[in-house]
Amino acid sequence: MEVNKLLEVLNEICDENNLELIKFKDIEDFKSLNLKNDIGFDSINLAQLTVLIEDECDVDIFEDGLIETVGEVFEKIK
Amino acid sequence: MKFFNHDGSCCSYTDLIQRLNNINSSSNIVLFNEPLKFFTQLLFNICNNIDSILFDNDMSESEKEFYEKDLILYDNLYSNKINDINDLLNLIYNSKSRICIFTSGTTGKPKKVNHSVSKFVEMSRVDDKYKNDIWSFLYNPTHMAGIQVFFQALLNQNFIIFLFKSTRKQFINSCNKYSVTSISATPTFFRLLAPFDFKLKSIKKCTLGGEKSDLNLNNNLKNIFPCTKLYNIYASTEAGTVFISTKGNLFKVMNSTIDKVKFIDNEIFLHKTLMYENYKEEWFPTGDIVEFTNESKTEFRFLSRNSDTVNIGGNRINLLEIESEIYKIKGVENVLVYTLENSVIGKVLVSKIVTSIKYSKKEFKLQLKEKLQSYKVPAIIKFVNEIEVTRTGKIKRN
Repeated sequence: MEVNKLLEVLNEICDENNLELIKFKDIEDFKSLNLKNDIGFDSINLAQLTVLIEDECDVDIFEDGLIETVGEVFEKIK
Repeated sequence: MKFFNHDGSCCSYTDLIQRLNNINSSSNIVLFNEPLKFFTQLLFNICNNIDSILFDNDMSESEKEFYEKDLILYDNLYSNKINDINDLLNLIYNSKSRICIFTSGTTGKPKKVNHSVSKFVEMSRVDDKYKNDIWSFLYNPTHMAGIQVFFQALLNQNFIIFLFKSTRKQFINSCNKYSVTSISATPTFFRLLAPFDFKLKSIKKCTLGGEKSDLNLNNNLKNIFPCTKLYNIYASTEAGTVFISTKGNLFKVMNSTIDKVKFIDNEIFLHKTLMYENYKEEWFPTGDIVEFTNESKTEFRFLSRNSDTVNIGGNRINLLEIESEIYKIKGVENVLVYTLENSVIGKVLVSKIVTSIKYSKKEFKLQLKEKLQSYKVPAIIKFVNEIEVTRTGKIKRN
């Protein structure tokens, strides 16, 4: 999954749940974002993220435990 | 007198009798491939007291095991000549043969269920008032509802237009062309007729069975079939038709079955006398849950099947309730709500939706949040072009 696609998925969840949309500055900044603290995801949003990513990449990103940052999501799907 | 039409090719009752008289070999396996051939072999077996096991041509691996194990061939059969339709009907009424069908297998491995031909005869309503009925055949003929429609039409010497797996356009054109009067199908089939922007005035009787219907669909059907009387039936592969309703979704225990039906914790239990042959237990738990609408507990509406309720985060959720609310949203044509195993929260609610109006997921969820508690709003909304159905024309939840 490319950066743009992941950003699109994350923002789709943000939009549905009235969270502030993520503005992409650079890749390092994007990867450092904490899914809960910076983006504002709750457990339902994280569940949404797993389903949407699994649809795209056939990978369950939370299979081995909780993931905290966008960078860790990248590690799982690359 | 016309008997059968499939893809424009017509067969009369005289042709049927001639076909039956020309057969001298058969087998107990009746494979659904070509509809007229299927029904002719089934009738031949019935007339000759041969048991029949009905198979779809796309049988599953576990059904194939039955097929290979149970096949019996009958050669050099010299059956009595059938002279006319009365001869044929007499043979059917007096047949000792049985019809074996498979349950849909939604609860696991397919199960064989035997019903006597006499049971299908008893379930049919035969009367002069039905003699001019013209049927649109919409069910899978290897399953309970399809066989019931076949017997109902045959015993009243009706014309059958075979439209199982037909498209919306074929259905509408055929109903118009042949002035179809009677239809019976699953709510899923009727929902796929959307958009409901046509009218079929020849249809006098419309029956819904096999799944829970809803008032919205009933209203749409009254609109497209303006001259019809709507019936909802409750039937199962194991027992056949048990309840019929003409009052929307409201069912009543009939006097004839009052001692053969009981309710435990609002679940319907059927007595073994209503069941298929050799059912061993005294009462059969259907898994269907009802809600009573009167104090004497004789009238009820269906709420769900046990398998339609799930537990998510400690909340018991009826998937049909959510589907029912989604159907109320403008433009929605078909819906499936189901659960997915999820590594974060255990289970997550997912909804597939076919809609003629373009919504954003956010807009759609907002509408749902106005109708449902938040834990009932599917976390995942998927807008799709179509939703897969089972062989029996029902929505495939698993």
